[in-house]
Amino acid sequence: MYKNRISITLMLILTIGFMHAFARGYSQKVSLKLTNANLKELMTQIQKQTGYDYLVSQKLLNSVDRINVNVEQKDLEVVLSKCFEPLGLSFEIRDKTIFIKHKTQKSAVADISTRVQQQKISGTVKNNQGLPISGVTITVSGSTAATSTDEAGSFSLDRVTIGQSLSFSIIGYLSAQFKVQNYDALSVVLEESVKGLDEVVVVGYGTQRKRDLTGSVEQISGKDLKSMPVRNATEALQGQAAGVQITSTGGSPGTPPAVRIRGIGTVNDNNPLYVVDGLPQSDIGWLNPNDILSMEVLKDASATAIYGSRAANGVIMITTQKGPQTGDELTNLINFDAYLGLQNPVKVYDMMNATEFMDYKNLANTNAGLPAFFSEENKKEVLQFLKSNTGSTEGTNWWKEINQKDAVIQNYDIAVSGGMKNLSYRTSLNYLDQEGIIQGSNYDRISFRTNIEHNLRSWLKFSANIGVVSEGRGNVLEGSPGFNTAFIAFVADPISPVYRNNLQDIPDFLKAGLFLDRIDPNNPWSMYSPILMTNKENPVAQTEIYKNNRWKGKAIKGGGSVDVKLTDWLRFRSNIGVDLSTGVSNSFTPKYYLNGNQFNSDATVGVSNSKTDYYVWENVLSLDKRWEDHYVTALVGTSAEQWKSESSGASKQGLVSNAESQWIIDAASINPQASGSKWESALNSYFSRIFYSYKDRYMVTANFRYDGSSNFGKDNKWGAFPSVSAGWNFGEEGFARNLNWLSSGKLRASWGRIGNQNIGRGAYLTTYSGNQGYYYFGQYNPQLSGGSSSIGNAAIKWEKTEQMDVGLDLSFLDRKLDVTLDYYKKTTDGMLLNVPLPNYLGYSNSPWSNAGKVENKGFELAVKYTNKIGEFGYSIAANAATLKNKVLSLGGGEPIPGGGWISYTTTLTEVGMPIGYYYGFKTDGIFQNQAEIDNYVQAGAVPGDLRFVDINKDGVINSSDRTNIGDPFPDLTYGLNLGASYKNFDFRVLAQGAIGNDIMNIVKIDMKSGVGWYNAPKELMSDAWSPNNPSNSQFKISSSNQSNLQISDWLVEDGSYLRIKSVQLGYTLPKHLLRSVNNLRFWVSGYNLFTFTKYTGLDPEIGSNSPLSMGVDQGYYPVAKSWMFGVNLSF
Amino acid sequence: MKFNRLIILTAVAALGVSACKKDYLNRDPYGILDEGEFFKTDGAGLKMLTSCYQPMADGWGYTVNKVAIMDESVDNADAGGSDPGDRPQTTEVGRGRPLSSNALLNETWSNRYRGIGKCNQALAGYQKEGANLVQNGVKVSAETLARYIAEVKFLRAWYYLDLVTVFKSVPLITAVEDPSVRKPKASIEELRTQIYSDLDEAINSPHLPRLASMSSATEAGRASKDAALTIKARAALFFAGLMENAQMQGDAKADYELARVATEDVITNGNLSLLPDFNDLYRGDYKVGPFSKEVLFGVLRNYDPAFGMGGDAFAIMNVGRNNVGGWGGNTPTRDLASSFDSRDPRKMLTIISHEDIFLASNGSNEVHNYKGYFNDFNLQHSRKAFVPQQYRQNNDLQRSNWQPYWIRYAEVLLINAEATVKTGGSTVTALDRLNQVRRRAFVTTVKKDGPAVYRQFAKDLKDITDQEFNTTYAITSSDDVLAAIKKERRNELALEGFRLYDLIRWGTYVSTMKTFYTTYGFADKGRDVTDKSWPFPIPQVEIDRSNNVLVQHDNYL
Repeated sequence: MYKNRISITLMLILTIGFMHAFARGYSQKVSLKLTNANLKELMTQIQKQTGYDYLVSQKLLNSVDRINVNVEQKDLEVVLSKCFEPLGLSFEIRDKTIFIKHKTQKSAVADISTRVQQQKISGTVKNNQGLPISGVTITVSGSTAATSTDEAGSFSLDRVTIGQSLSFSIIGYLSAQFKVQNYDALSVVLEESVKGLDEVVVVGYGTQRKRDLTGSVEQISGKDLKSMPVRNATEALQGQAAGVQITSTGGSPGTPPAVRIRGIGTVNDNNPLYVVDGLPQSDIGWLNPNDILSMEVLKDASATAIYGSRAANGVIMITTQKGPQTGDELTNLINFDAYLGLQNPVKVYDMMNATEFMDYKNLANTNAGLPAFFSEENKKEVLQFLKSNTGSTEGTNWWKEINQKDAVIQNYDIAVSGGMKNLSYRTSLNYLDQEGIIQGSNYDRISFRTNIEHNLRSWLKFSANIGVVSEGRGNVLEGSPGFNTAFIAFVADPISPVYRNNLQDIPDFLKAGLFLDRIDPNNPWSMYSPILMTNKENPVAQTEIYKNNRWKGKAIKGGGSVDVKLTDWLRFRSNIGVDLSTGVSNSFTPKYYLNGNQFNSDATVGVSNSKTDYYVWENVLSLDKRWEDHYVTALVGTSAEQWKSESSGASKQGLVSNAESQWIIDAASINPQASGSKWESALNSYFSRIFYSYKDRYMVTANFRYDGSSNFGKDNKWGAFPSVSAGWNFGEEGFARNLNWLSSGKLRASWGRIGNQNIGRGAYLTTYSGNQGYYYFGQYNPQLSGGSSSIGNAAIKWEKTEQMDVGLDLSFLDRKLDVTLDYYKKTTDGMLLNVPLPNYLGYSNSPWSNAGKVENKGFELAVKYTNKIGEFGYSIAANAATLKNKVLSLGGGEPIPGGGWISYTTTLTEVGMPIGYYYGFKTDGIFQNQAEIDNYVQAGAVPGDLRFVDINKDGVINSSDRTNIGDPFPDLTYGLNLGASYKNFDFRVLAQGAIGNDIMNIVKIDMKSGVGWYNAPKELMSDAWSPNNPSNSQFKISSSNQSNLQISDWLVEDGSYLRIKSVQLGYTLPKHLLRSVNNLRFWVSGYNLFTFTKYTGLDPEIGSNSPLSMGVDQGYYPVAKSWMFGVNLSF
Repeated sequence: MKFNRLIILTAVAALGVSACKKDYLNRDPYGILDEGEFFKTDGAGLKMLTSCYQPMADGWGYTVNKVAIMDESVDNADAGGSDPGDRPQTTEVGRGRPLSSNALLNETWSNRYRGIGKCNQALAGYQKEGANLVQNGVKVSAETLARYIAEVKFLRAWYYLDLVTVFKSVPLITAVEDPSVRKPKASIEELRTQIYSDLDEAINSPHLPRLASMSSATEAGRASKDAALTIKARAALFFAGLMENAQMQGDAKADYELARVATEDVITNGNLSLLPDFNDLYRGDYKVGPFSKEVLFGVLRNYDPAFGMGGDAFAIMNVGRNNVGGWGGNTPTRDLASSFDSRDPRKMLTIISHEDIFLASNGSNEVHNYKGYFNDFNLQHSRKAFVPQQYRQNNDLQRSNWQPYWIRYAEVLLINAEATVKTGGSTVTALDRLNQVRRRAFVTTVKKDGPAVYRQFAKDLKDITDQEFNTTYAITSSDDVLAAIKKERRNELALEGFRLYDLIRWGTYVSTMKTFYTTYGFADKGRDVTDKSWPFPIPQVEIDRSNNVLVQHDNYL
C-alpha cells in the first residue's frame, strides 16, 4: 500500500503551496506514535495515512500542541476522539474531510433545520484555468453548515435557503461569496491569491513558506505578466517590483532591456541571474511569457547567496506552469490565448521641411560671415525639383519613409495541460511575430515547452521539461551613435530625394552630388539617392540593405530531475539541465554606390555560425523536520556548470548578380574570408542552507556557497559566499494577537556576501600572439606581425558584494492590506576593473584587477490592498524604491571616462560620486551682447554663444572647468498597479516612472547644433538666440558654432517621468452562454499610451547595457505604443 | 525500497565525484601563446620587428593624425570635414589653446607610445630570446638580429621625435616596465640624448643597410641607414631651433652641425636622387614614388583583402565631399595657395581648387564641388591626398595604393642647405642643395596634372628651361637664403606633416598664427595662439592615470 502512494502533500507544497491534501479512499485505520506533537503534525500524519483532508481554523492549528498518542492500526474516529478529548476539541468527518472545532462551539455540521424551503444545492469549483479545485471549504451564511469540494471540485450542500450566501475559501485563492438565487448547479471560479503567509515562494534550490522567509524576496504572479506586447517577460516586470529597474535599451523588437536589481554594483556586467525551472540563464528573451507561473525576485544576500558566484546582481527565479496532479482520471484543459496589436512610436521629432531647412542653412552661413548657401534662384529650383518629383514642396520626410506605420504584433499561444494523480504534463506552443516601427526590424519566435512530472514510486519522483525555441531577428543599424537608422532618419536633409532614377528638374548645383552616373539600370540598389547635405546615409537605402542581414537562433533548453525520498524528512534531488543553442547570421550587402558616405564596391555575402552548449548538474540533499516547536530545513548540494562555445564565419565578395538567389557564398567569386573562435568555461560549486524556526515565530537562515570558476588563475579560482539572516513573526506574539487590525507582522534582517566572476576569460594570463595582422615590406609583400598581445593579472579574483538588508512585512485588515518595507546597503568590493594604465607604458591592454568599491543603498516599499465589495473587486498595488549609488574607491586608479557619443567623454566614474555621472561644463545662459563677453573670461565668445562657468575660478575656461552636470540615477522609481473587476468585466492599469534622474540628450549636439548641417526640429529657428530673440537656452545659429558643441549641461535634462504602461479591459462571457467552453474572455489593451515628462527627447526611458553611459540618449530606436486586442479561451 | 534509494544515491554521488575532476576548472583560452611558446614559433623575431612598424599603418592614429597636427592646426590647411562638429579636435588645436582632453593630442600620444611600447617589448624579447629565434626553419643569424635591433631603435627614436615635436617633454620609457610603474616627464635634453643614442646605434650598426643596397621588391618600407641619418638630422634641426629660442639647453650650432653631417652622409654616400618629375610622386598611381630613389621611408599601402589590408583612411578622409566621394577633411588654406610662386607647378600639384575637373573612369568629367560642407571658406583640397578615379580599384577611394612619404630626399637636401647656412658653411653648397629641389619643380616637372581635365592653378604654368630657371627662379647668394629655404620647405613639403615642426623650431609659430588669424579669421584659427600654446598639453587622462607622477606642462596649468 505504502509503496504505491505518493507524497502528494509535499509536492503540492513544492509546486503550488496548498496546505490541504486531498481525500482518497485510503485506509481509515491509523498508526500513530507522537509525543508532544502539535495539531498540525497530528493531522498531517493522519492525512498521509488516510488521505482524509482536514479543516481547522488557523488559530486552532497553531495553538494546540502537546498531543501524545501511540496507537497501532486503530480506527480513525477512535484515535481522534482519544486525542481530542483532553484538548477540548470535537471533530466530525464529512466527505472525507475532518472538521475540527472547539467543543464549546456549535456542532461543526448544521443542525437539522425544519425550514421547508431548504433544499440541496450542488456545483463545482474551478480555478481560472478551468481546473477543478478540491478541498475548498464552503460555508453557508447564518448557518454552521459547511462542506468541501472533492477531487473533481464538486460539492453539494443540503438545506440551503434562497437568499443565503455561500462562501468559498481555500488557501491560495481569493475567497468568493455567492448569493443563492435558485437551486441550479453552481459553477464557481476562484481566483488565485498571492496572499497568505502559507503561500510558498520559490527560493534557490527549493521553496519556502512566505512566513518562513528571512530574506527579501518579491513574488510576481505569471498572470501579471500576461497580455503585454513584449517579447521578453522581464519587460513586463517593469514597475511591478520595488527596487527592480528595467529600462529599454532601444525600441527594436528583440532588444533585451537593461534589468538592474538594487542599483549598479560594478562597471561590468550588472545583469541578474535568471533561473528557469532550475536552469541558470543570462537572459530570458526566449521564454514565452505565457508559460510563466510565477517570478520571484531574490534581492538581498540572504536570498541570493545560495547562488553565490552569480548572484551579485540579484536572481530572478522563474517557475513555469505545470499540469494538475489531481483525480483518479486523466483530465485536461486546452487554453488558447491570442492577441493582435498595432504599434506606433510614442513620439517623433517634427523636423524642418525643405523651405525651412534652406532658410536655416542660409542663416547658419550668413551668421558665420559666409555667403548664403542657397541663392533665391537655388531655392526656387529646389522647390520645383521637389514638386516635380514628389508632388509637393515639403521635401522628404525620412522618418515617414522608413516608419512601418501601424506595425503589427501578433501572438498565438496554445497550451494543453492535463494530469491525474501521480502524473501531469503541460505543453505549450507559442508564436510571436512583431514588426518593428522601423521597416526591416521584425522579430519572430516559435517556442515550444513541455513539462512532465511523474511520481514513479511513493519515494521516487521524476520530472522533466524541454523547451525548443526558434527565433529570427531582422536588423537595422542601432547603437551606433550618430549613424543609427532612427537618428539619421531625423537629421538627413529634406532636400535629398529617396530615389535618384527618373528625376526631373534637377537643379544644376545639386546634380553632381547625386552621382547619376553611378545608377546601374539593372541594379535596384543603385537607385537610391545619396544624402546631399549631410554625411549621413540614405535611411531608406540603409534599412533596405540591413534587412538582408538576419539572425536566426535555435535553442533547446531542457532538464530532468529525480527526487528520492530517503525518509519522511530527508530527500535527495539530482537535476541535469541542458542549454544547447545555435545562432546563424546571414548577411548580404549589394554592390552599389550612392556617394562617398554610402557605397560598397563588391557585393558581399556572409554567414556566421555560433554554437554554445551549456550543461549544469546539481545534486541536493535536503532535510525537512519538525518536532514540537522546532522546525528545521537544511540542504547541502553540489553544482557543476560548463559552457563550450564555438563560432565560425565566412564571407566572400564579387557576386555576379545582386539577385536574392545568388546570396550564398559559393556564388561569390573573390576575397574569401574566414574567421573562427572557440572557448570554454566552467563553474563548480558546493552550497548549503540551514533554516531553523521556533514556534514559527523566530527564524534564522544561514547559507554558504563555495564556488570555483575557470575565469581565475589556479590560486584564485575559489571563493566563499556566506550569508545569515533572521526573522521574527511578531504578529504571532501575544501582544500582537490582540490587535485586530494587524493580521501578521514580521521583521527581517540579513547580511551576506555574494560574488561576480564576469570578466574576460583568461584575464589571469599574459599572452603572446603570432598573428597580429600584416604590414607591407617591399612590393606589397604582406609580413605578419606578432608579439605581446595582452598582459594579464595572475592575482585576479572574485569580486565580492556584501549586502545588508532590514525588512518589515506587515499585513492588516484580514490580509487585505499588505505592506513590505526594506532598507538595504550593498557594497561591492574588489570590483573587477580594467584600471586603465597610462598609455605611455605602451601596453596594448589594461589588465583586470580587483580595484573598485561601490555602494548602493536605498529603501523599498511595496503596498498592496485588495478588497471586494459585492461584485466589485479591486486591488491597488504600489511600490517605490530609492537608490543612492556611490563609488567608494577605484583602487587608486584615475576616474573612468565613459563615452556615448563618437569621441566625446560624456560621463565620469570617480570616487565619491555615482557611477557614470554626467561630466562636462556648466553653463550660465547665453552671452547677450559684447559687453557681457568683455566682462568675462571666455576666450573667443561672441554674442549668442553659451556662457561656460569658470568652475575653478582661474580666469580661463578649459577642461579643468568640467564638473558634475547630472546624475543618471533616479532618486525614486515607482510602479502602480490598479486592478478592478465588476461582474464579468475586469480592468487593470499599470503605471511606472522615475523621479529625479537626469538624461543627457546628446542628440541635441547634432540636431540643435545650429550649424545648418543636420536637419533640425522646426522650433530651432524660433528658439535660437538672435539679437531680437535674447534666448538663454538655445544658442545662436551659425555654421561655425563649434565652441558651443562641448559636453555641457545644455545637453542635460530632467528625466523624471510617469508612464501609463498598460491599460487593460477584459470581459468574460457569462457561464450560461457557454457550453463546452470553460472560459472565454475578450480584452483590449493599450501599452505605453501616455507618458508625462518634461524631457524633450523621444523617450525618457533610456537604458544602457554599459553603466558608463546610462541615460545618455544617443537617438535610440523610438519606443512603441500599442493597441492590442486579445482573447483567452479555455475548454 | 530503502535499499534502492541508497543505490541511486550512491551511484549519483560516485558519478558526481568522478565528474568533478581536478582540472574541471582549468579552461585556458584557445589560440593564445605564452611568452616561451611564442619565441619558439617560426618567424617570431621578424614578427616582433613588424609589430614595431605597425602603429604607423593606423590610418586614423598615424597618417590622418600626423597631418592634422602638423598642417591642419597651422597655416597650411584647415580641418575641413562635414561640419564644425566633425573632428572638432583639429580645429581646437588650430585655435591655439586646446583642452587637455583634446582627442587629437590624445591620439598622437597613445599611438606613438604604442609604437614605443612595441619597440621596448621587441628589444627585451631579442635580448632574452634572440639566440633562439628561428626564421623559415633556420636559426636567425647574429647579423640579422643586429639589423632587427637597429631597425627597432630607429623606430623608437622616430616615435619619440613625433612626441617631442608636439609635447616637447614626455615620459621616457626605454624598457618593458611593470604595470605598476609611473613615470614623470623626462626633460627635452634627456629625450634628445635618448633619440640620438638610438639613432646612432642604428646608424653605426654595420648590419643596417643603405637604402640603395636594399631590394625595393622585398625591403621597401623598412628602415635604412639613410632614413636613420635623415631622422637624426630632422631631430637635430628641431633641437637646434629650440636651443636658439631658449626652449632648451644646448649649443644650437653643434646640433645644426649634427644635421649637416648626417645629411651630407646621405647625399654623398646614399646614391639617392630626386625624381625628375614631381608628378611621379603624387599622380595617384603610387607606382613610381614609393620605390624610387627619392623616397627614403613611407608606409606602403595596397588593397588586398586576403591579408586584411585596406587603403589608408587618409585617402578618403582628405578628399572632397559631394560628387568627389570623399569626406572633406584637410582643406588647404588660401594662405598656402598664395605662398606659391604662380609659375611653381607644385601649387597645382599640392592644391585642387573648387570646380577643377578630373577625368572620371568612365570617360566623363568629375567637376570638383567643394561647397556645402566645412570647406566653404577655402574651397580647396589636397592634391597630395587625392587619387583620381583611374587609379582606384572599382572606383573606390579606399582601394588605392595611396601612401604617405614620411622621408623624401628633397627634405634631405633642404635640411642640408639649412644646416649648412646655420653652421656658416658654404653658401654655394647650400644653394646647390636648395636649387636642386627648385629645379626639379620648375624645370623637369611636367606642367600638367595628367589625370586632370582642367586645373585652375595650371593656367599660369609654362615650361621653363634651365637657363630661364637660373636667371629667374634659382635662389642666388644675393637672396635671403635662409628665408628662401624656409619658403621652399613650406612649398615642397606642404601637407606632408612638417609645418608645425618647422614653425616651432623657427620660433615663428606664434607670429605666423597671429598674422593668420588677423588676415583670415576663419573658424577662429590662430585666435588663441600665444607663446603659451606650445608645447601642447599632455592628455589629461594620462596625468590622471599616473597618480600625479606625471604633471601637466606649466603653460597648461
